Amino acid sequence: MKGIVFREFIDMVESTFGEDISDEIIEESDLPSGGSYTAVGTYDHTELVTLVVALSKKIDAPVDMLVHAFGKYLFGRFLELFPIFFDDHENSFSFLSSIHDVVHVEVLKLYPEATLPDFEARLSEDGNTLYFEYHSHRHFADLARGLMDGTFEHWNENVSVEIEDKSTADKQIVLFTCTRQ
Amino acid sequence: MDLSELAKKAGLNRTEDSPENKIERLNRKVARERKARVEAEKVIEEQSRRLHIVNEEITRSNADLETANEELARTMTELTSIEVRRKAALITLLVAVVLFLASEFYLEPILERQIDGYMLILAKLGVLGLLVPTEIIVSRILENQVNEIGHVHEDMYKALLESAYDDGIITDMERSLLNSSRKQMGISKPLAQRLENEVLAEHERRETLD
Repeated sequence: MKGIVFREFIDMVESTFGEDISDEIIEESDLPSGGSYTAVGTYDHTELVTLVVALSKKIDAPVDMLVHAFGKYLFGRFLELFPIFFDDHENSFSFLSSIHDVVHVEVLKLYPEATLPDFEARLSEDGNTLYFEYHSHRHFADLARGLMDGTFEHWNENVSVEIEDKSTADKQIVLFTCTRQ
Repeated sequence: MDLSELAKKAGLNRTEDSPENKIERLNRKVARERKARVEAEKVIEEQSRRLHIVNEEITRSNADLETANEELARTMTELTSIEVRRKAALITLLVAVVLFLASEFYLEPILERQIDGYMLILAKLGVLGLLVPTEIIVSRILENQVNEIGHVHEDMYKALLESAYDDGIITDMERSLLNSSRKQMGISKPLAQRLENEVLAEHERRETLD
């Protein structure tokens, strides 16, 4: 997983919960990287899982809730860091539909060694429902859901999301059915 | 529950750090940041090295491409010249055959009836002499055709310049391609400069209008 995600997670913990909590979860987690992350580096994604679990214990909050909250935070940061990916879209469905074929292609130009989750997006005929399927071995569907919620908030849209877990033994597959209200 | 609510809940059970703890924590943070910086520098150094190697490969490929283009231009010039000579020879041969047939079956019976001896030979030589201006005329026509090809090349080179100046600047790669195309199309340096000045003036005029 790219270092930028780790940097943003540490920044989120520091700015939201304080530098002491950030320091404690890093020190207590015994990470192979030692908790030193650079945005241009690549690290084992299980380090992020370890950090989230440590934070969950530290502040007594469920892991899935924290991962979802981080997803929303990350969307805001991507918006600041890479506005070019969002400028051409008038609504969330248009942006989400472009992730696999446009955004991830650009991300791979910047970070050729990045391994990205697969997203399949399909819009209903009336354009009011987006079927958005997440495929990944990393089991970060909650992160994807947080990013999606950040997307809906950014375009100020009221969207209901139904979740269907279609995971296999080695891969997390989640179908998000997003309907505009 | 969002982040601010989680933060509020987490903050309730926290006590203020002692100054010593704070210093220790900040020292650990500095050590982590320093390690991250060193790693980032290593990544950048590695990327710079790769970039340097790729740049060298591109420079080598450009040089090879330019040599191949020059070779191609020479071959094209030779082929064009051979083609022109071949066409001129063919047309002259055709005219010679026509003149031979005309003189043999049409002029000669008439001339044999009216003149004789040396005068007849002179008349035949005169007919053969017609071949010289014929070859000159044919060569001129073919040269005109070659000039027309030259105009086509000028237009093509101008189109390349317009495309290169589209973003307002000419990169090293574009300059290298323009140079090899100029040589390939047989366009002289002064003519290329004149065409570039025209394209640049037109580009600046459009920029001013925008």
